[in-house]
Amino acid sequence: MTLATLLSTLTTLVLGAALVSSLRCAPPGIWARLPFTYLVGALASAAVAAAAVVLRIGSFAPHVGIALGAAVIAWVVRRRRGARAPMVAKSVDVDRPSKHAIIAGCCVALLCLAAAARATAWNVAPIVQGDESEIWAAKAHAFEQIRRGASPAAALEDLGVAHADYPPLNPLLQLLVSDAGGGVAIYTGRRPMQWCGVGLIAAVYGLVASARGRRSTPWAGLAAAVAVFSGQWHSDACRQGMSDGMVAFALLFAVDAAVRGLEEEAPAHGRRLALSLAILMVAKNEGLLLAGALVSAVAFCKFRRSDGAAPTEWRRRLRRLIAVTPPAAVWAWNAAYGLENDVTSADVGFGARLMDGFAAGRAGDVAAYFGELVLGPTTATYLVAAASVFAVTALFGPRRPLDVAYLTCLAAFVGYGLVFVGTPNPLPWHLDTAAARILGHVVPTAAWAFAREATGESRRT
Amino acid sequence: MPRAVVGDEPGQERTRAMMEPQERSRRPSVRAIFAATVLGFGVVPFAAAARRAAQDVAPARWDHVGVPDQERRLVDPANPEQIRAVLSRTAPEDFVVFGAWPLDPVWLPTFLHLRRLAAPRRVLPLGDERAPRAIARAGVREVYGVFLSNEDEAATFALLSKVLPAAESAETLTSGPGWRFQRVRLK
Repeated sequence: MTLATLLSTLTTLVLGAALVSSLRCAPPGIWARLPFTYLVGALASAAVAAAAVVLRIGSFAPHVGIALGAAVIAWVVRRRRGARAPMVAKSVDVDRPSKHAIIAGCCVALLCLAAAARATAWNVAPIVQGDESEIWAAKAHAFEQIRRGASPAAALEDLGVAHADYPPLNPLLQLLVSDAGGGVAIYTGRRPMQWCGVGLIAAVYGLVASARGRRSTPWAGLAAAVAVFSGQWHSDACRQGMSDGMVAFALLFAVDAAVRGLEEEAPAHGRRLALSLAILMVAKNEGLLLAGALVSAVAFCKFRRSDGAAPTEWRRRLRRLIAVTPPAAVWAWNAAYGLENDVTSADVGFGARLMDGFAAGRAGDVAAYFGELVLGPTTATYLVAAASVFAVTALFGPRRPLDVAYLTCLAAFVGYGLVFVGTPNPLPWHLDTAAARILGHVVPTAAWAFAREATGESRRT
Repeated sequence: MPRAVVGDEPGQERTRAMMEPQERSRRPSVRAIFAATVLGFGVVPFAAAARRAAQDVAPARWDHVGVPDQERRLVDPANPEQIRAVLSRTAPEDFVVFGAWPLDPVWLPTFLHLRRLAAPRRVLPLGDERAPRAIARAGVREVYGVFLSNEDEAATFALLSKVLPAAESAETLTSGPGWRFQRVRLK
């Protein structure tokens, strides 16, 4: 790891820690807390980088801004908590981990190490081809040009940015890596996305291990982490500079927060859900579909909250604002520069293309392709199909909080299928290049849900 | 907590009846067994995945770790002084075309460097299909090009006319090792 990527990662973590601490929305357990801190830090750091691009502030300033921002947040939080809390001796209440948790934790640490080493070794290849170059790295270079005074439209066009409408979270993080290194990061620009692949393994384990199951949660968590690591999707998508790992990462935290929010009353889950949804929607366009799937699943499984710990109206509005502001900013940017998505905004509307696709029998082709993919030996997408089976039982039976995860998987499965049916691109090419990668977005969530299911019934307390 | 009395048959039965729901709750549900089985299938390919990961992190791939990106450039950028000198022959409103795909690792630093030196002139990468369209839209009659090529003038023009069909003729203004600065007249 170069000093540049280390610095960039550290500033992201520091800002994330300050924010997660101030918002008091950390998930339980260090294994889930650290990845969530990174995720939140990534969103906040990208916001600082975006401000630097708009204000045309030079290379090292964003990192200084991030560090200062973290320091100010930490100082304010410390003052507020100091003013509130009476001076009492801290009680020593250490929840010692069990022997099982220690052994499983060591195994997960090894998995994370293997994922990090695999990603680092991948960085021997420069970012020059495929989506990671033409969509994500090219946009990072375009932002650099905009910051140097070029007009956004010209920079995006001159650098040949494909899908210029895609959300800017990934390119802005790549820009921060370049800034820390003092030049264009041709090899290590993908590092922020690679951390998402590593964090995903820790998060899957941590979110299962910290759940209140009736059977051994650490071992179930380890099994879920191994399933994610073993899938071809993780080895392909999570070491490249594309945003698929981050989408899966944010979806996992969003679904966990939604399920825990239905299981127990705690405002932290609502805040975590809002932040995770915000990150999900600005990580990649597919995040909008997945966020819609999750919100629909929660609405379907709606449980009435008791009045006791319900958040006040302004707090609820604030959460919605947190969730909606980043995607709204991306939408405004795209609208300002006339950037459109090829799936939803071509000359013919998506609805018309969908009808044409059904008439042309594309649905059968897509179903056959998905079936082949699901039954494939190494992709781990069979987890999504199995989760869809549980979702169907939830549709007709009694609903439990964990059904939110299964219904999200089913909705994503159907939603992605419809996108392929209505695609403006040649169908075989689009399926070959994207199907396994985007179905992988829900694999960690499905693995997490099965692990939680195996450890005990999901109930509302 | 119900107590069983030894030898008291009805008491034992009553105890069993009261204990049964708790025992049943400890027993895994059908869903849990199904979930554990599905998850178990995910663990099966671990050996293959671990083998793949071991191949990926073979020692031969670690030479680059710790070396900054800037020191890993395959070719040094063109001499900035020479580029500045040739650019001084163009007007700010002129187009400068760059004869390489901008995201090629070899030429990306050069391209970005050229863009910085050339500002406010517009620098377009040839090899990207949008460059000829942008030039056509601007309606200019001639553009200047920094072409990274060791070929002679005719061969460079032959390459150029493939990516810029509107090119009519080209005149070399200055050149150096591995590069050529040309004025390109358009049809």
